[in-house]
Amino acid sequence: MKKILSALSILFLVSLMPLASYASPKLLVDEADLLTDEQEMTVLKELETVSADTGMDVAVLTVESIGDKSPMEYADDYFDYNGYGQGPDRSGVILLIAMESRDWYISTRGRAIDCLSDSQISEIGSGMNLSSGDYEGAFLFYAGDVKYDYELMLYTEEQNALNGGRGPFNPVPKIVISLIVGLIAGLIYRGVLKGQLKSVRANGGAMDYTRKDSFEVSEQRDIFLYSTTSKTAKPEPSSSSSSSSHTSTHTSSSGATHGGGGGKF
Amino acid sequence: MAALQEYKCPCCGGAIEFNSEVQKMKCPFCDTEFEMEALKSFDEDLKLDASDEMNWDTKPGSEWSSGESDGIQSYVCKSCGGEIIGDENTAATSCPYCGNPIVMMGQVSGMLKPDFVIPFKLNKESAVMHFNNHLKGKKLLPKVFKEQNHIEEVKGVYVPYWLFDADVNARMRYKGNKVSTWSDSKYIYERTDHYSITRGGRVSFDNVPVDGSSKMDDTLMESLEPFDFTDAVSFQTAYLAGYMADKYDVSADDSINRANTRVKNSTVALFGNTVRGYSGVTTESSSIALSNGKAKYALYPVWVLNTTWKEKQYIFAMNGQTGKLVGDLPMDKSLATSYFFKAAGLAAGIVFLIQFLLWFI
Repeated sequence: MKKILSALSILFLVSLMPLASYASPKLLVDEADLLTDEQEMTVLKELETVSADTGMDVAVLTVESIGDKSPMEYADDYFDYNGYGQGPDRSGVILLIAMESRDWYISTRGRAIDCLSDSQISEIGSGMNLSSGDYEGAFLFYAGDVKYDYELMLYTEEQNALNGGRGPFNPVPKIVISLIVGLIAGLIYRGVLKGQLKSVRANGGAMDYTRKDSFEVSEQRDIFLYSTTSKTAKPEPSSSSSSSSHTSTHTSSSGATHGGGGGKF
Repeated sequence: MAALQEYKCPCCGGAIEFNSEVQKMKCPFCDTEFEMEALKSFDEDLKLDASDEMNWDTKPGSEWSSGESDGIQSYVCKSCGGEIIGDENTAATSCPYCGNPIVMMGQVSGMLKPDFVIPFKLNKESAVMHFNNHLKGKKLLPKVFKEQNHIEEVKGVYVPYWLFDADVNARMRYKGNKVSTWSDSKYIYERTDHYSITRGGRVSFDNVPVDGSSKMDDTLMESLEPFDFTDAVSFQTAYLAGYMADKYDVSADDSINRANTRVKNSTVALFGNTVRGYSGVTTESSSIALSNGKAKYALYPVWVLNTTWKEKQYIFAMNGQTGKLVGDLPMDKSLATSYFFKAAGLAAGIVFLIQFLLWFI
């Protein structure tokens, strides 16, 4: 009996091992060595807390150089091929810092795409203030902002669910429109009634007095003179959208859909 | 050597030259190209532009033969200076223009005999009935106006008219264009084809009426039109019995301008209607020439009612042949305002309700 029990427990423990290999990868990878050990611990702790609270991996990656790849490709690929992302959507966001080319890039996947719009990503970029050299502050700002945007997304979704997806009922613009339409309708109706009272009108022509069948067009010439052609260029569809809720997405090399944005510092 | 012909550019007016590169006539100022034939035709059309010639042969009316005008009395209104005539059987006591009493002056003088008259087809009862109908359904009419009207005082008056006949020869020249648009992936294109359009021909007018009395408002009289001349008969004094007639005080020569304007407007409109199929048309020149312009003097039947209400004079007139009744009515301001608010409130309420329902669904 003891032997069976211990065999079973060993089997059980062994079966847990594959699960261990599916554990989340490191949320902070500082290859460019921008942080001291102490700073690393602070940032890592913050990233782990936010990741747990939001249900998506919030990660930071610093490298010396990204070589020939674009920051977008590098960040997307690092995220996809290193097992980042929680849940079946692999929801998560990674901040890439490339020191040689002084690029920063944020790549999102899964729920994080909805959570972080293009303009929000852009705001994180400027808010981090990477040029100051305070990388610890920048990364903590990044984590904090992601958490804030996540909570904002939850709140908006809640509001939409309450209103059946229409946004809150705002009577003010409706009242203004009603009043304007009412004003116009009233003026038109009054104008019509006033018109009923008037019947005296001059007769500017003599159409009633034309002799029957006397109208004859004996000369009729339509001569083509010349032609002018003008062309106007069609307006470019705007490539950058300024609406705060828009997120542009693309497909990465692994076939996954990513959102994101970046810049220089 | 042929004489040098200089052509004007239809687009900008500069002198056009033959451009050997494109083998066409090209304007050096605006760069537009033209076919030779088109330029020649356009030039010919330009030469034919002329100004209007509208002359009338006005000798309307005639002299009374002896004894004819014996029975006609002349009256004058001391209040407004109006001059009326009536025959000895007319019991004319009040002025049709202002409602005040009139005084008999004696035999009529200084007046031509009318050529024609359209006798009254509708009598006084009919006039009263038409007038009551005119007041119906006018929501902004003050309620008391109807009562204070004295409709019974409506008077039958023959109004003097100068009638103008003419044959018109007209030539109009227009500029027209046709616009077409299309686009490809990069541009939106717009092509405008310019044309020179000529229309010429003739039309005749008969009995264009111009009111010969300065006391009867011309616009009011024009609103009563049309009068149908087929009912007209040669004038006999007997037709005046029971009715008043107005003595003309505007001469035929002075009325010509109004006739000219009306004839010209109708001619331009008639020819303008034959220009079709263009996106835009502008008139470049027009020339109207009259021939056989004749004027006649006629009396037309009108029922007239004068009312004073709240210090303002209102005059109503009914065409004594067709029954058409015109006259501007007073407006009750407070009724107007209340209808405005009712309509505005109703419309605003409906629009708000629709918006609310749309939001709900």
